[in-house]
Amino acid sequence: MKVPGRRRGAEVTKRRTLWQWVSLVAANLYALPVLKHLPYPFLHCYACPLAIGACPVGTVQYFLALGRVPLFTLGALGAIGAWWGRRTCGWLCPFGFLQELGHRLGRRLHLPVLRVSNRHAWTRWAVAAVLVVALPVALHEPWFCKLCPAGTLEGGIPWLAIDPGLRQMVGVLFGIKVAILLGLLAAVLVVKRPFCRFACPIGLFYGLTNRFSHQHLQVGPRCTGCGWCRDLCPMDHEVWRDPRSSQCILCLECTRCRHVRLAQHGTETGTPSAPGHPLTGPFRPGEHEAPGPSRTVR
Amino acid sequence: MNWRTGKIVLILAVLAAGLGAARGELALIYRNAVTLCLSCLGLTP
Repeated sequence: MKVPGRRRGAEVTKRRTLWQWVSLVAANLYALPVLKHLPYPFLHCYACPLAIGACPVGTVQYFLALGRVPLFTLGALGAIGAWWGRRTCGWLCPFGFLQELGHRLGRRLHLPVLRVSNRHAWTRWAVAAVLVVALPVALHEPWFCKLCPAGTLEGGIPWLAIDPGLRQMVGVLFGIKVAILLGLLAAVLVVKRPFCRFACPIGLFYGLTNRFSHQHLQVGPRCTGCGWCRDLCPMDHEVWRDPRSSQCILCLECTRCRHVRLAQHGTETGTPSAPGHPLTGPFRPGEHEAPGPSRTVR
Repeated sequence: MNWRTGKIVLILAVLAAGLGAARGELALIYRNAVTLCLSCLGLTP
């Protein structure tokens, strides 16, 4: 029996995973250091020995510590967000990819999925306000970087492996950083993308643009709110409640359900921007819906 | 909010990025990015 929803979902997952691998490799092509003039559109530590770009969060802190407004970084991220919303989180971010891989490993190990409500996502505001803005302005030091688990993994640990001289310099704070990283790596086994949902300042920034971005999700009027989209979502988001939520990373996994689709400006009325395209086409009321293996019936 | 808001934000963002580039921010970003930032080791840069 043909199950279009399942096939479409597998295509999206395959294509997204490919994009994530390509982004991971491209972000670490040390042969192109000239790109360090530009910030990455996602979280990636510029202290990573292979990094080719600048971390936008580190750049923002640097500018704030200097008493300057980072116009270029905020403008570039704002332009990306205005067009794609939070899509770079779902398709390009290497640290988000790592968390997804960790969660897939947890599923392989038959660990339970711990459902943590996105109502606690206010923690992102606290992290951004205190570590990215307040402390760098007040103390002139990048305090988010001092605790960032991505920096520990991509910058700190590789540099300690490369340069033995640095090992004598690390102290208690590095121990705290490693503990945060290990805690996160343990959490991703059972919780979906915890850093992205509760800590990432870039996700918070892009999430603000989800409300008006060119690309966004749309839920059809016949949606029953069965919760399948939440099972599919790597952010554990209840898509049917708010398809333009700041938690949506536009990964399109939920478009496996026939009631959800990617909409762009000009396609809100159901006119497909790309005729026949499985993701941007109109809702198909007659199409068979493939139930997921862990579908929740409410 | 709708795409009209999005378009305004997009234009403002592009203008901000252009203004930032004109003010020489790319050189500052580069200088910060190529300096070994010891914050990843939990140290003061």
